Amino acid sequence: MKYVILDADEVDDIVFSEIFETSASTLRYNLAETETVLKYDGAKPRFLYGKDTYTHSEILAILATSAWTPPFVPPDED
Amino acid sequence: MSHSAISLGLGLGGGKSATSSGAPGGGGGGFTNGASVDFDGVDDHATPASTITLSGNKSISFWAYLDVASGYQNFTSPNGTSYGLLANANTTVYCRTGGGVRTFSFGGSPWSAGVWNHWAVTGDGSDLILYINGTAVGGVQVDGDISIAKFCAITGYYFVNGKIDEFACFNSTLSPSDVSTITNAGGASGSKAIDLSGYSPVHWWRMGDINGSSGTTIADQGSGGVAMTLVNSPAYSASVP
Repeated sequence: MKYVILDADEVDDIVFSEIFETSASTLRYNLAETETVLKYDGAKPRFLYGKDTYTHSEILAILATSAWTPPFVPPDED
Repeated sequence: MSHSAISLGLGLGGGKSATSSGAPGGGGGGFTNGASVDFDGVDDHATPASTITLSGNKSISFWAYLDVASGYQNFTSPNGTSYGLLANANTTVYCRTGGGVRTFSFGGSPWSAGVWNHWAVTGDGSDLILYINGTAVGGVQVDGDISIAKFCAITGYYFVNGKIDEFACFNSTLSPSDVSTITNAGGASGSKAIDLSGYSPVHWWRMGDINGSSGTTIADQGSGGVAMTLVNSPAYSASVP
């Protein structure tokens, strides 16, 4: 599997039949909601040409950053 | 390319298949386990067809093979946006109830990455207990209603990175002996999971064993009839507990 980060304003260009995400409503966005992440296998879909490609471990490292995952706030005990 | 989860041709039709029994009242015999679902930690998750709420006597049981023992991984969410049953590395587990978030902290590491671990939560309306690999950990917390509207993530983050199998919910309080049996009676790796039908699950998702590891719908083998839908194409796996 290969992963690509796409600008949020390019979501309308996504060809969902060529990637593994289900639909626009199930995409994962960064906290600023300016970028989303997609995955594909095999040949790179044409609409992703020009985009950097990441491995699974590389994308997980990116998604673990503060741009994608907020710091955890411990819950108040009731 | 299909939107469907990747089919490995496993399940009832063939592939690796473990057999075991051990649930009270039997029901074994025909039980086989040859598949799980692998969530990628990126955006894979699942949703029930309708929100599940467990009140009063309740239990949740599942097997998890997490690829990492760091960070936050959310098994259930009550509404899709709030964490529900959330692992913080292997030192703390949070469980959100209708009465608030309960915190189970433990000094040891009751589960490890890269192996199958059994998880269970039981409540009786008063006490909420977390079991990992058959042992109660983190003390006894105050019970409350538990709702599930999403599996293996909340919106945006806390995605589970690893495999899930035999996810079940009960309208009964599994005893410590029940949890020990579910965890240990199956035997060696690859045949640990047992037939849960004797425990009368209200929900039981076999994670690929009923649908031949194909498609995005996991039928509910419990009495509740709430199907699970796989979202963003988590893959079926031949790895089983």
